[in-house]
Amino acid sequence: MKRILEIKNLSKTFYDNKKHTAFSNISFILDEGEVICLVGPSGSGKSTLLRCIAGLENPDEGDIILLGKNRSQDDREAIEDTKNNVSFVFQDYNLWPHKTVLENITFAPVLKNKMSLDEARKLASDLLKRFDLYDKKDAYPDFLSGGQKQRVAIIRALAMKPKLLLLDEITSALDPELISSVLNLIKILAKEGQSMIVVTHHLKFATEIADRIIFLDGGQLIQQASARDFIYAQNNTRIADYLQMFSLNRQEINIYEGADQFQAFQLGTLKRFKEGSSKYVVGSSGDRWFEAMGDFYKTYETERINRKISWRMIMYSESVRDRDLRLRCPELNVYRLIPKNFENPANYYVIEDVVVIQIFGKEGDEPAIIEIKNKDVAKSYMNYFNLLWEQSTPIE
Amino acid sequence: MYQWDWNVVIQYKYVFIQGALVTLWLTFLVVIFGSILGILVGLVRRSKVPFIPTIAKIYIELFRAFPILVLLIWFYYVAPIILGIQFSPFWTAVVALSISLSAFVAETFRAAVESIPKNQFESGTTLGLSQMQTMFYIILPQAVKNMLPNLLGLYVEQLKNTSLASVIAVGEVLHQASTISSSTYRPLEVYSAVAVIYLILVIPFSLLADWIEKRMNRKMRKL
Repeated sequence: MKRILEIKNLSKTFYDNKKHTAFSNISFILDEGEVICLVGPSGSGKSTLLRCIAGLENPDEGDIILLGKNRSQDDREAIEDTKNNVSFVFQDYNLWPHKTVLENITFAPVLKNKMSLDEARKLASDLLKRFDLYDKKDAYPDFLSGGQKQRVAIIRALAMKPKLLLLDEITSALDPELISSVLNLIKILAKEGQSMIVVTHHLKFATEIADRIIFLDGGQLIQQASARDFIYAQNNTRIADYLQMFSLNRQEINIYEGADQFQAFQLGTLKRFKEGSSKYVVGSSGDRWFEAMGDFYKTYETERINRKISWRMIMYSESVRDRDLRLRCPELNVYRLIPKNFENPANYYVIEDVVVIQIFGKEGDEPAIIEIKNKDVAKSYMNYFNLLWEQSTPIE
Repeated sequence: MYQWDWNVVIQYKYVFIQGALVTLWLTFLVVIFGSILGILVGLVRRSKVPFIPTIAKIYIELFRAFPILVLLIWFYYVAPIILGIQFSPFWTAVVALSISLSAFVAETFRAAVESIPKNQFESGTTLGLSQMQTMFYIILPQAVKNMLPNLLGLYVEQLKNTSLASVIAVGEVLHQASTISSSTYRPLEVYSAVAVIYLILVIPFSLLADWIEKRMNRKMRKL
């Protein structure tokens, strides 16, 4: 495997008002196709390290060996090499406001890589199409959202076909709902074998893309480990403390067992459905649901009908009580039959970011509920619901 | 009671028009040379070579400090003796006014470049552009846009400053007027006409400057 980068005993100190060591004695290597994530508390020196690698800052001591060439001496040729082979994406995008999205991307390849304008436009268009930004190609950066700006900035860096891509906290300036679009792009690049060094605070993301995670604290390299070992086999207490600060999974799973809890849960969630909204249910349970709800069934049903919450249910077969409900109130009970060959994951419904799985077990078993609070899981369950809905036939 | 007689203005209208054209031509040349020189000085001011920026700073401070009238007279009477070159009055005015304008443009340019985030320079560097390329293609277009409102103000000012060139006998509108006035003894009509001519010349410029500034503000609000 080709060695892209080797860092040897690198140190950097700032002398602003007082001496301040950014980092010292850092060494690591990066081979072609590898992704390294630099993590650590703020002020740990990770961004400065990245800027040194990009040639935006000069280290005081140590060697940066890029593609076999040592750059730490004042070597113009080596600096040119860095410029040609390394691209950097900033936290605050740094798109050029006076150029359109397309011009932002094509400018450097045409000027620097001697690409023809047509060729550069095609490359840019292809990249924009791939990352779903083609319709913005003639927009000026000021008219894009933060997530779009950052994706354009990444595409701009990619258009230079860098051997090494450096990403400096690229999601820190973004609103939470825009972050995933940017991280997904990076995941794709990682899969495609783009060599990258990524400074990030998203540990979950780091574990997904990194071949190795390097932990810096106070300018020292504390640990260098595979993503797996870093998270799950962490025996360094300092790092373990840091990891605890970030809950790795925003996912929360709750289990409610027994009829009492089942009933309480159902009545509780019913309140969270807005008036006139729909409850999307997959998999009917025959009459087990009605049994599990016991005496509270009436309360539930009155409340539901009052607030006009409709059931949209996909089932294998319609039970007698289901049928009663449907005939009594057809607009609030819309049922469909799933083709038999479809696999039904469970009896579940989705409310906002929560998936509720209802478990009834065998005849006589107590009912239970598994509640999964996870936006992505909820979304994929909802997608599956929609797919089943399309494939199934209405019951009338 | 003074008897107004506007015939004199009509009689000499071509002289007035010619004077106005000289004023415009002089302004135009000063704006072009002054801006180019100013941006060059501004660039030199940002140079990383030791002492060079200091020279630019001295240039800027010096020529901003001198009254333009002093500068004009100095160039007309003293420069030929020291430098050994004798310009015509018109070109003396072009040189003196351009140098004066360039000092102000350089200062405006500095402020405009400083208002552009440091990251914009770095974004050029990290995409492989040289310092010069980054400056020319990335920073300069943004800086010029930033400095446009101030620049237009300076240009309107310049148009009025050209009247000072009359003291070294440049045939611009004020100088023509004083010639007419001394031969016709009708200073009131003649100088009133001059005032009107300046109004006619300056107002469109001011309106244009206002319009551009408003347009840019509107665009900023939209962001």
